[in-house]
Amino acid sequence: MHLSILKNDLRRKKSVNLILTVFIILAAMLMGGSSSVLFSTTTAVDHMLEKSNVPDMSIYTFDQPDVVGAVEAWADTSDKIESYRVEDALLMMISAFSRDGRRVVDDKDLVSAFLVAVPENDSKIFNQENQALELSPGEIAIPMGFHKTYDLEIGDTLDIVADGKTTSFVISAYSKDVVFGSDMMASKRFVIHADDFSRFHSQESLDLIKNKIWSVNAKEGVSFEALSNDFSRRAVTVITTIDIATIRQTYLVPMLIATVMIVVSVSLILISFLILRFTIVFTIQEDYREIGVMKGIGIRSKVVRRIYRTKYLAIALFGGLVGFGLSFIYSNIMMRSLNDLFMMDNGVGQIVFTLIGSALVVGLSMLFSSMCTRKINKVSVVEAIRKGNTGERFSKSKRLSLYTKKSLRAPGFLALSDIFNGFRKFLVLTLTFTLGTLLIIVPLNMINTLKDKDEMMKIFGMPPHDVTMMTERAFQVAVTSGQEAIEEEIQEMQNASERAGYPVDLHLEIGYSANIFVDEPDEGMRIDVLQGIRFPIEDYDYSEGRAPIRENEIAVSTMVAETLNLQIGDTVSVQVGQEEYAMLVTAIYSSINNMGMNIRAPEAFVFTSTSPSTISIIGSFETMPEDLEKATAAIKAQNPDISISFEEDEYQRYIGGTVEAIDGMKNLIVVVVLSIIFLITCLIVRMLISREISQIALLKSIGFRCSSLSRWQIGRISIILVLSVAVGTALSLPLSHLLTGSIFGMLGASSVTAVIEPLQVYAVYPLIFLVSTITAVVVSIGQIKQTPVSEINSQE
Amino acid sequence: MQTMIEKVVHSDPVETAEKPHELSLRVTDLCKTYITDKQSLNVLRNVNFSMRKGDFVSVMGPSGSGKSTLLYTVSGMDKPTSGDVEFFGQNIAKLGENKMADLRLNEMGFVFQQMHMLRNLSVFDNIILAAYHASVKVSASHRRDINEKAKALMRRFDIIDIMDKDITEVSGGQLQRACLCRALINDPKMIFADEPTGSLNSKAAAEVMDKLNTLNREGATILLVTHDIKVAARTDKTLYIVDGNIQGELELGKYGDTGEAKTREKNLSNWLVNMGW
Repeated sequence: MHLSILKNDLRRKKSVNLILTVFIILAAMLMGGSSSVLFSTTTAVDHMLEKSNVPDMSIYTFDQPDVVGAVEAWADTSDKIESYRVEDALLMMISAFSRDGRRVVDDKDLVSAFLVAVPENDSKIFNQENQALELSPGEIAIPMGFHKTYDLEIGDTLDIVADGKTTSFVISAYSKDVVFGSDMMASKRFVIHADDFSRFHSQESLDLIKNKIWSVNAKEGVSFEALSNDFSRRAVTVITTIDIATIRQTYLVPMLIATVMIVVSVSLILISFLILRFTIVFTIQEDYREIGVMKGIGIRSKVVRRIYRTKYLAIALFGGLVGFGLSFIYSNIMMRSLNDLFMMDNGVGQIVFTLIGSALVVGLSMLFSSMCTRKINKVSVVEAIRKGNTGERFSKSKRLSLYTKKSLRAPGFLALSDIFNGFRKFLVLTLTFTLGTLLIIVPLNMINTLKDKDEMMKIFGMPPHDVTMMTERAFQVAVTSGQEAIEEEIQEMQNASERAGYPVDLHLEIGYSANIFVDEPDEGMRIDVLQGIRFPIEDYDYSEGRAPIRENEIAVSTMVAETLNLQIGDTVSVQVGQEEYAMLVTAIYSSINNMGMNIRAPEAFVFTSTSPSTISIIGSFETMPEDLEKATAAIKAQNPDISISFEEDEYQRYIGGTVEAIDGMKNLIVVVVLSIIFLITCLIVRMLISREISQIALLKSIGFRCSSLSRWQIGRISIILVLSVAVGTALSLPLSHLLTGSIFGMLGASSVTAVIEPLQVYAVYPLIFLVSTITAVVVSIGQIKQTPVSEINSQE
Repeated sequence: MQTMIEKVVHSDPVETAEKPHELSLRVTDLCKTYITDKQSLNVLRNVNFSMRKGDFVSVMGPSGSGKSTLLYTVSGMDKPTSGDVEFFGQNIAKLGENKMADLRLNEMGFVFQQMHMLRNLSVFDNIILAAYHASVKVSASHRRDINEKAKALMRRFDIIDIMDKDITEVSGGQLQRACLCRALINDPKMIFADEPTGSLNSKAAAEVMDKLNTLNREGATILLVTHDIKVAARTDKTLYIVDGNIQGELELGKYGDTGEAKTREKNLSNWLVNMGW
């Protein structure tokens, strides 16, 4: 008998049961998919590092006997090393690539590249399908960013021109390279077959410089910072060293995108939780009359509850299962923009998280239905038949009076009256709309902040400047000949610029790798010491204190100050190379450079025992040229060796490739959120109308046209919508500042404020949201037309 | 079997300014069929009858005979399957949704068994809602007139003291009289009532019927569905419907004073027994 009651229920209440099923599917999809996104994004970098088998530290050196000997000696004797491996590589300028006889890259990209054979052990490289790279002789794999920037497609021919000889390769894959994959990593790895590599490596060449890559792993219990410090004390000349901390730092912008995705996912989980509870409560209230009848004919409450719990279990299991399947599609869509940048964990972890999310929906559905059906025990037969109303009168409600609202038309008044008297009914919709608005605007503000060049340059620790100049010679002398030689180069660049009619004031920005500690060197941290040469140190941004001027003074980043518990006036030890210096902290500033792990030293301080790890020559024009291309051409006419990049170019270099992904993600979030809100609105409006059928019939009976009834329905949702969007937009401002501040704060920048584009935030996107949601209401109110006046008697 | 009703002759013409014998409603070959789960159910089968302006007609019949369906179909609240319904000369069976809504708003008044009102509105607001909605212009003076008219109606039906009350705060009888006020607010040409006393106790039912009789005496045309002999006995004429077919009619004449009631009820009861009730 129970089975036939259930079968009849499912057949008779098709629309309400269908809406519940759709909501459970939606909730399971959002919760399962978002849990999966949450898992994949939070583990993305670590997953990539693990899959690629990245060593604790990679050292790139020239293949010179003294250098190789020094590294080998360190690697063999250091008590911090567990194991190391050495492989060959070739260093080339990226300008050596050509296509159809022409250089592929713009000449301002004075960037080096490593040519390697397919790595088999350490720092492995994958293709876009996340499979280990496999190449045949004559094939080359290029980085994804290189493919996008220079329109190089799979199947294209790419030539390497070395020593006047051209060797052709066919592009066969876009590589995912965790070590050099980020846009912030200027150098790139190009991969060819081992046979081709051996052929290049066996020749003596001026353009393909032989290198060694040392993959070093620390002993258990030894941090990679300690390993890195241990090596830096040896003062070996290297091309570059890359440790895991550096790699993590290069994924800073993608990690910010992932964080935005996490915020979106958490919010969508919250929305699915809200709609799930609302729908279950609503559906059970719809069943109240039947419950009353069953109790009336003597079926015990326990049995009645079991019948309904069976029904909801069946719906929840079905919805959960379908939602579980759909959540994979949903999470793939959500992560599409991140897939280019990361190698996501699509394995067991993702499935488990998706399963947990979907199972949670089934569990919550059962919990809500259990909570709601618990009332069956207490409720009397008559109460149940009256759909939970006790029949108690004299409970005056607060209400609006039509006769006092003389300027309102009837549909408008009804809309206002519904909201004023029964706001609870619209609470879920209000929260959904508010969250939806936040979900669109907060990521938009964060993304606009990321896209803001000035704000980004500031948090990367760069002082305000118009231009960056460099020559190959400056690059070489920085490593080999020291500061004085670079200054000569700087002078030459300034002269060339002045001769071209664009006087510029250049200065040198140098970075040294160092160890900072308060008491014991082994308890210290690896940091970058930044030093501006020929630039007033007062002109950098400090959040507190005064600029360090004397040779024993430094400014520390917020992150360094917090980690070492430093305050202005404290003394700290800085170890650069073999030397150790006691420095006085005079200022604290905000920076995310090297994950915020940097300090700034005055020009007065001279490092004697080490070469700089980074250099850049930046400056400002007396008058900013209007035509940048014309200025570049004029300066290069004076000195063809100078490579020139403007703020825009630098921004492109640091974040450029990511901007496309950022925009893609922003659009994706907008589309996903709008679609979900559209669907939720359709379903909730249909549910509300199904409960108001008798009122609609009543209004029809006294002469309301369908168009007037539609105005009433659209009006009330529009009021809720406008209020929610207004609240959401208002909340988005402090929330954006809070989230942007805390996310950048985690990365080391303490004074980042969200960049608000008023037109987008206060007009365009709220308008898109309003139009989309009102469209959802319009398409959902068709039931009004189909409601016959005879339905008036369905009023309880 | 098809039954034609004899032409109704008013022995006591209604004193109104308009033509006393003008047809208010003419129903011709009206059929209504519901199709459910591959089965068709003929609820109304070739129903024919007419009413003149000022008539007060009741429809009686056993449960499921099609009384309410007849009322909903002739009042344009439901579409007939076939046949014609002329409302003051206009065939409403052919009218579109919007024109029908306008007709219900301006020319018809409805009273239901359940005192259907909008929950969020006060008694007074429920009454004036249709009038506000019918107004072409939104002007303070026009709305003031509507308010005064509604108050006058409420005074007349002795419910002025509940005007600001919530609909859950008043008695069933008061609420049904408020429904009557709402039905009258736009000066309808005809009132349709579906068992208006069905949910009321005898005292409240008598009060409501007193008001309907008063309205009828003042010229209102009323078509009412009931299964209460006392209610039907206060109407001019009773139609008896069985299986969607009108089986007969009884002319009772205009209801006068309470002393007459017993006789009318007895006559009606005897007639109904003869009709097989």
